[in-house]
Amino acid sequence: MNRKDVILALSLALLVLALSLTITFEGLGPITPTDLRSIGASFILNSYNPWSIGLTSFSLNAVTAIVWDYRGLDTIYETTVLFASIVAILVVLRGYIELRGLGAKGLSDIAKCATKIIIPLIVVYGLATAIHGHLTPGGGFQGGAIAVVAATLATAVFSIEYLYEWGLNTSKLMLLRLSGLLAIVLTSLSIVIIGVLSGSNAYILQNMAKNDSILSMPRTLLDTPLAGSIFLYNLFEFLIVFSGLTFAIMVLILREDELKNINEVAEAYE
Amino acid sequence: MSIDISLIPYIVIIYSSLLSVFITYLVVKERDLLLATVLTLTQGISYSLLYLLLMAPDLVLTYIPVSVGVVPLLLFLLVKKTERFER
Repeated sequence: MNRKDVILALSLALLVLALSLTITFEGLGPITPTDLRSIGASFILNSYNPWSIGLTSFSLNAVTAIVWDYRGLDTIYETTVLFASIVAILVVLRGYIELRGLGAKGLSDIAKCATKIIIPLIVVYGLATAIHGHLTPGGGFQGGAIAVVAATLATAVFSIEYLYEWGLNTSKLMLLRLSGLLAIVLTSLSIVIIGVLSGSNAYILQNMAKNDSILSMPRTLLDTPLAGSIFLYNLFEFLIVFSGLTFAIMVLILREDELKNINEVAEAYE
Repeated sequence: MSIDISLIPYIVIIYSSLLSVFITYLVVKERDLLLATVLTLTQGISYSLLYLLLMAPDLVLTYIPVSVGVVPLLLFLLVKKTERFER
């Protein structure tokens, strides 16, 4: 037992102490500055403010209001960047085929049984994080990233063979991803389409009514705050992130026999 | 000797950021790639603690599944497909 191991063990023990301190005191209190800059103050004052029609977005979570309403165009470009990266993976590995019955068994029965219990819980937690994104911290990307853990666990514990048996394959995931992206584009254009048909002012990516436009997305659903398009964007972003990252993981763990054709396809294109 | 209670978050922040640098050094020097992956996971935990204390719960919710769930599992699969020990 050399000195490095002792230092590592001590520092990890102190990390566990710090974690337990943080959990016990629920975050150890805020470290935020008390004086806000004017832009921060305006976001906090306007993100849920029924008396400021024209600037509010009726979202209780100010971060989600900034991400999907005040700075919505940035987030749509981020979604496009993620889409382009998945397309890059597909271009590198073009020509793969999906084969069944290659004899992959996965881990032991105990691990499989425990994973079967955990997977629905992870997916439900991710979905709840996504569709409560306008109320609590979180949002579409966070929920999707949590749900991807379930797919990763399934591929690691069960093997890719079981995903094929459950009906998940890469073309279905790509279809889900494309339809999610199309739904986001349609949501951002829906107010404009209604405005053109009814002959009133409207803007692309508009959420709530503005000073010169009376059209708005639904702000409540059965007395629950819905924050209009923020809820829809979070839901579709959840679908996009989940299907996109699961697609990437499935393509990255394809077996050797499924990737035999890649070189021939690449030579045919050259 | 008494410590002002409002200093504790800053002490924890300094400690976990120093620890993450130390663990990064260990990950680079480690020859066993499986052990290096586990150490990367520990670094992810200390980073998410930093994000939580700096009042960014949205980043914590993204960072925990990616750094503790997806990346180590992908690296395990990668190690399984190649070699465990670096030459």
